[in-house]
Amino acid sequence: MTWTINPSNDEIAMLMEAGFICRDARKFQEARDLFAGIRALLPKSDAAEVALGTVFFHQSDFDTAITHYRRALEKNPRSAYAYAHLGEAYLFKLEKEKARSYLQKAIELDARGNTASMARHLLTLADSVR
Amino acid sequence: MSIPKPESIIPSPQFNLADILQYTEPKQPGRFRRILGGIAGSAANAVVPGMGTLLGDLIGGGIAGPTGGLLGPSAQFLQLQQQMEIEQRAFETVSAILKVRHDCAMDAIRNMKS
Repeated sequence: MTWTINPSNDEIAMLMEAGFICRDARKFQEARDLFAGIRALLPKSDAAEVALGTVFFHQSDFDTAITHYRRALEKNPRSAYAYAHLGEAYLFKLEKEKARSYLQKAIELDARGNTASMARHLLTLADSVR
Repeated sequence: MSIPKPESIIPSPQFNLADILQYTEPKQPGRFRRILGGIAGSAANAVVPGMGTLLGDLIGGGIAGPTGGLLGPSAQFLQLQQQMEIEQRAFETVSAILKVRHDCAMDAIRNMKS
């Protein structure tokens, strides 16, 4: 039996929010299921792929997180959201030079947005750490 | 009138080897800083993994700075004040990152709606 699901944008946003809540509540499996579901509904969305990566990041699995962020960049090569998270993951792997280059790229792509602000703060952190 | 001898006015310095070593060897992070670094690291780890490592390093002695030496008490207080300022900046930076990460997540949700 085949199911046809056509969720509205509001419903997808609600699923996304639920995923972030599960992730922050450390219900990682539920968060992964939700974000994987959103990715299946929106296969071209870089945001769902990045969100899925952040779950692995929260579990300290930085390599898998990086795989998802790179996949997000394949879907949208100009995704500042993906670049900022990629930079963050490399920073937490203590690969500071790679981190810096991706964070700079995020700032270039979205100079005034929250993503750039996140990248700037991460660059400050990178400069503070030995 | 008798003039006092200099030795009776200025006490002769009495240092043992341990005192000299304490002032001349590079300083290790204090016990308090190590503990604070550990606590802050654990707290940050609960929110963002890895943040604890970075914050712990930052506070627990990872900052490049003066390494002791022949410092007087006022210089040591100045150093302590600088360390406290560095800690405060570290907390502010981490707090700002957590806030802005949340804002980014909210942006992603909002973008899904449009």
